[in-house]
Amino acid sequence: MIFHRFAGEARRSVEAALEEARMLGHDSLGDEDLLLGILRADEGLAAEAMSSLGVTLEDARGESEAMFSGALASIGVSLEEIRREAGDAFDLRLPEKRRIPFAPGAKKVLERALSRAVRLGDRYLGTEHILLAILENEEGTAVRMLARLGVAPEMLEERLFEFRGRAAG
Amino acid sequence: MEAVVALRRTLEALEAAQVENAFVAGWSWARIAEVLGVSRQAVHKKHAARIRARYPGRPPGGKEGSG
Repeated sequence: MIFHRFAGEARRSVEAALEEARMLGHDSLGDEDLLLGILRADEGLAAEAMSSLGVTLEDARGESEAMFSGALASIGVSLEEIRREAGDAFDLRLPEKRRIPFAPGAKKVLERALSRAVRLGDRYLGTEHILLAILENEEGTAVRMLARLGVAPEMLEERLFEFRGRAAG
Repeated sequence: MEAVVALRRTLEALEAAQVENAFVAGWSWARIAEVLGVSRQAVHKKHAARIRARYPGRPPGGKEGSG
C-alpha cells in the first residue's frame, strides 16, 4: 500500500475522493473519484489549475452522474423510472461502514503520481502529481469526464506547469 | 462494461429501497424473503440493521403478525 507515503494535501484529496465515491455510490474508487477528491479538498495547484479552467466540483459531479445514467440508458435502463418507482427510499449513496476498494486504474494513478514527483525532482507529493497521473490515463473515466467539461488533458497539463512555474518563481 | 457496473450498483440500491418500502408497508421479513427468493436470515442480515436504524421502535411486519 502506498497510501502511507502520502501526506498533506495529497492525502486529504484521496480521503475526499473516498467521500465522493461513497456519495456517488461508486463501489470502487476510480480515477474520476480521485479527480473529484482534488476538487472537493480544494487545495494545492491541481484544484487551482482546474478552477482556472472553469471546472467546478458541482459540474464534475454532474458529469459523473450523467455518465452513470448514460451507461444505464445504453442498455435500455432508465434511472429516472427506477427512481420514480422506488421513491425516496432509493439511494445510491453507500453506507459509512462500507469499505470502498481502489480500482486498479486508480491504484496505478497513485503509483504514477509518485514516480512523476520523483522525475520532476519534487521532494513532496502534491495534488498536481496526482492530477498529472490522472491525465496520463487517456482511457480513464476522469479524462472522459474532463472532455465532457470541455477540458483537454494537454490544456490542463499546460496550465498546471504554468502555475508551478509561478509558484517556484 | 460500464453499464454492467452501473447496473450492479443500481440493482443493489433498488433492492435496499424496495425492501425498505415493503417494511414500511408492513410486510414481514418472512414475506419479503419469500418474494426475493432468499432465506429470511439472508434478508435480515442484509437489511434489518439499516432499516431498523431508520425506523426506530417500529416492529417488523406490523400488519401481519410476527415475521
